[in-house]
Amino acid sequence: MSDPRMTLQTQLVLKAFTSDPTQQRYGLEICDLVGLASGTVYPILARLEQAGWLESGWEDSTSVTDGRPRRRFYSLSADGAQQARDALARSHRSGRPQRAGWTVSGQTDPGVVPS
Amino acid sequence: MSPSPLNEPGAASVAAIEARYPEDDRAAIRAAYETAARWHAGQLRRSGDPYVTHPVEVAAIVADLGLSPAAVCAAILHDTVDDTPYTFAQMRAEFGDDVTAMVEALPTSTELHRAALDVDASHAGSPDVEVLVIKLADRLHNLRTLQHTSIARQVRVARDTLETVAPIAQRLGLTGVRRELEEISLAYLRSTVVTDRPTRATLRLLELTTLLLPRNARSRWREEWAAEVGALPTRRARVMFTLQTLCGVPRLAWVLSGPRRAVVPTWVAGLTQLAQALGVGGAIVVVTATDSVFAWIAGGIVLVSLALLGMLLFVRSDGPARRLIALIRAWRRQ
Repeated sequence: MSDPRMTLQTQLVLKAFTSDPTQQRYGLEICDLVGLASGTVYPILARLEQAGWLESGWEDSTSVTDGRPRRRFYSLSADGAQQARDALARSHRSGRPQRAGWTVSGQTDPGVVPS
Repeated sequence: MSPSPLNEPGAASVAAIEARYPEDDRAAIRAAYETAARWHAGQLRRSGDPYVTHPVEVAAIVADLGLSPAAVCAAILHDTVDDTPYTFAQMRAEFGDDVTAMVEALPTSTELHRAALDVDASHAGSPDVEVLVIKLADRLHNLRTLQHTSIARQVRVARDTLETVAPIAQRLGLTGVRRELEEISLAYLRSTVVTDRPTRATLRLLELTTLLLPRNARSRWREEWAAEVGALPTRRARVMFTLQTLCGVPRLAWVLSGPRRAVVPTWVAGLTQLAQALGVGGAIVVVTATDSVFAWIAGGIVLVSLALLGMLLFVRSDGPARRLIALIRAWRRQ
């Protein structure tokens, strides 16, 4: 499977994961984190999952109380964490200027330090 | 003493089932019913109905699907050994090996998935397949009467049905059963969170558009989105989320069908794009030139059907595309 195309939105979604690589996140949470519409985020999640960078699984149903439907959680795969960092670094090096004011979740964007 | 016809619970349904089978088979079906009614006597369903109504309704589904008389008997007797002192030895003496073997082979819910994988679905009508169909009918009737159980159980059964049981129905070619299993299950998963009407309406629209997704991916995304919608605090937020997600479904369908899309040769894709461009151009010319209501309607129909053609070719599955390729090849060979 070829690497996913590094569109602006894809980079934003990836950054939400690489900023805390062990954190599991669900779709709505990612929409809020990166400030994109759900119609944009889900296809990106599906593409990253197909590329093997992300893994997803259902929330453990025993941890769900009061009959709330379980959520689908996404996290970086073992390979994916490294590949995502590389891809983000590449797309920064390739001369695309990083726009000022890009932040994830309102914090200062930690960015990706080119190695 | 013999049960008096039509007064006993389930007897009317049994009479309807018998009517579907030749004279020779009716005695066995009637005997199976009488045995089940005798052994289940006094037992009740959660709904308060006499227990025997359940196996009888399962048998009615089995009969509707056109299964063998032995399968109908097995459906009527399917819970006797598990839930009453009745034994397989007694069953074998009264109903013979065919019926008993089917009841013995009925998988439990946890074995169902494994059993479905082992069965060759192309052998419709074989005892192996009929056993699975009885199990599906059992689940279908349990779903139809699921409102009498606890919410936790409703959610558990609905999920299991979507994940395991509905795909098996699809694999066996029972499209109607699959659809009803999915519709009832989704209704239970939805109702646990969302109650307001606008959200339900938009959510239903979203579920409808998931038909664009590859079949095996649909229930996953439906459930994922239903869970997210349920977590949103306001009605406005829920409707907005649903509509935004809806806009992303075509792209999601494109992504998910990626590996299969490769079979469409580029010249077919090019040809289709050309046809679409010509069609769109033609429709615009006709509409602007005549400017009548009919032209607008006709133009709209052309545009919608072209859009549908595009989706069929590249999104849903490669079946239509393959057929189109085969058609064009046959035409060129002439």
